[in-house]
Amino acid sequence: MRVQPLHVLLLLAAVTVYLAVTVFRTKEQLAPAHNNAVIAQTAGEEIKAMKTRWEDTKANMGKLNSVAKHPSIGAAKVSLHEEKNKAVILEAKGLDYIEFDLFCDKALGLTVPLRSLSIQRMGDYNGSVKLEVAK
Amino acid sequence: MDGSTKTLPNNEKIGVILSPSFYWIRRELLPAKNAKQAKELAPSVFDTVIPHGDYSFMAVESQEQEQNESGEKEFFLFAYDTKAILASLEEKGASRGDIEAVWFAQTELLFEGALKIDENVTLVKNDKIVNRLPTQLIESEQSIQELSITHSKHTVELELYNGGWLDKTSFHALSIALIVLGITFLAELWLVKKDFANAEEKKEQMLQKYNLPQSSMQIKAILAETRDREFAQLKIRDNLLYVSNLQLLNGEQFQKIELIKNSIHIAVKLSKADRAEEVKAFFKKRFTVANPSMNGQILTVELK
Repeated sequence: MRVQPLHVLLLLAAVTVYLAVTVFRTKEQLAPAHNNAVIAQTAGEEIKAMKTRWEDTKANMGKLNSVAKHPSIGAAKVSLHEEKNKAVILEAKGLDYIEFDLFCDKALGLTVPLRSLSIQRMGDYNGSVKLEVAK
Repeated sequence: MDGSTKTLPNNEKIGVILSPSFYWIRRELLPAKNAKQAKELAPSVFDTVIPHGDYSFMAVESQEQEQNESGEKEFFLFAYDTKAILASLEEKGASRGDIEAVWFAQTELLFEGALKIDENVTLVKNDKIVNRLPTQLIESEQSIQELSITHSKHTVELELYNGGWLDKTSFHALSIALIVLGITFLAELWLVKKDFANAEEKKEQMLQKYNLPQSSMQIKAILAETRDREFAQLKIRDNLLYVSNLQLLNGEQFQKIELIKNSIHIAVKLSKADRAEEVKAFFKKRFTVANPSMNGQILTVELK
């Protein structure tokens, strides 16, 4: 049996068309694959950065401690303790107006997940502040 | 097949041996190493000795080579008219698809003396060349039916299978073009697949590194949720800053600021009762003011 040249050409053409279509289809899948990789990377980096900024428990305790032990605020007036409901309470009582301003400035400037806040005036020159921070 | 052949079998595969009436032949000593080189010389050999026409050529090396001092070899050179042969085949009822191969009588019929083909045609071998003679002119003891034929590899190229629309050079060029194109696509496919695999691998690495789920939808949802949490915390601080920007007059002071869930409860001591509307108007610029009440000089509101 001789092979027909026409059949050889048709076979070659069919293989070429098949390869062309396969290349085209694979290229179509390539852009979403790259896009998914970029999404995974950028979203991962952003989520990690935000969690590090707000939700790193150990770092948050360090931030709250730095306020609690600030040298310009009387140590006896400030307490920092952990609650059972996955919260940390930073409380300052009997602050004079200088300490009060300093405490509010420092505490509210922290990047910690604030759950609740209570600021009470105790007299003309005294105040207390209580922050509940999610752990 | 001879010019005098009336019909050929149709609807069955056949091999055709052409009588000398379909080709011109010469036996020549040529300075060629092989049949391919000899074929290239064939047009010049036949140039002036055969009628003008559109011929194809073929060369077959002689089996009985004689010693030659100049190193030349003996070849049988054939000149044949492809179109005339194809027309004759079709005229006698053979379709191109049914013809398996075509040979020259010179290369296939190995006999000595004379060979009777039929009542009209007898072939004779003269000086190694097969010639055609009318049967009436020559006595032959041997007929083709008695001859054992073993076909050679010297088939005649007649473009039987492509209908003649594509010559050999174009076929080769087209085949090479398609092969090159195929190889190019194959190489591109390999590169694209590699790129695709790299992208998938990078995605997997990122998912593992940041502990993310597989689906992009889920990743986007987690990102949106995390952004919302950050936005809510920043908003709390921005709202507290807004509240603290309330312009207090002499003797006025905040008694209490409480953040409970998403609302801010405020108690502010005012210098006079009609200041309450001014204070509430300030808060209304950003919040919904709920449950306002005055207890003496102290205004209590809930900001949502």
